[in-house]
Amino acid sequence: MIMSPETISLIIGGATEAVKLVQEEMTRLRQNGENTEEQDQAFDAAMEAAFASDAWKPSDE
Amino acid sequence: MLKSFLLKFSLFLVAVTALAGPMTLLSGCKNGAFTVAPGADPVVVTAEQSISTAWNVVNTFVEFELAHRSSVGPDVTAIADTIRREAPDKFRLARSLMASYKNNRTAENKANLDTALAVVLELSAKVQTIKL
Repeated sequence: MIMSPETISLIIGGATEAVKLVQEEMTRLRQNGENTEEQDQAFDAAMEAAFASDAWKPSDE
Repeated sequence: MLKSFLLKFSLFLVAVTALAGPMTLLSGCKNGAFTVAPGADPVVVTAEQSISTAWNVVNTFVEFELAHRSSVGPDVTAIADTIRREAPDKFRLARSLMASYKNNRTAENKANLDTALAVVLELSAKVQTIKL
């Protein structure tokens, strides 16, 4: 079975993202208290920053 | 065929891994394994975790789609674009309603929060509907 470099790159990309998400989820799930005001502000700021990034621009704009 | 399967596998990994968070959380609530810190409101903790997980799923997906746009099919890009257009307002609404609930923990505010949570979780579930 021969895989193209493009396919290998996709697999590595997906697996890398998956590992990162597992780590984030585990850290987050260990926190069982309510977010502080500072944590809420940080989350909202990170979300707004992401919305302004290229990843959140529709492909036809 | 092989490429399609492997790409689907990669996307599946990203989506399911992220979704495993709230699934664990919700199942833990049912059997008592999930504990909330003293003084914390389970409604708030669950809502914060759910929004965060849904956010991780959709944000990771749109980043993944952009990074691999030349490789994924137009259907995947179309789903990503739908999420890009719909998600910001829905996440902002969910966060806003959660803040409202934290400030005033009434049954009405909880109901509004629950509705907004269902909407953002549906957005993240949309990632799993991708057919390649």
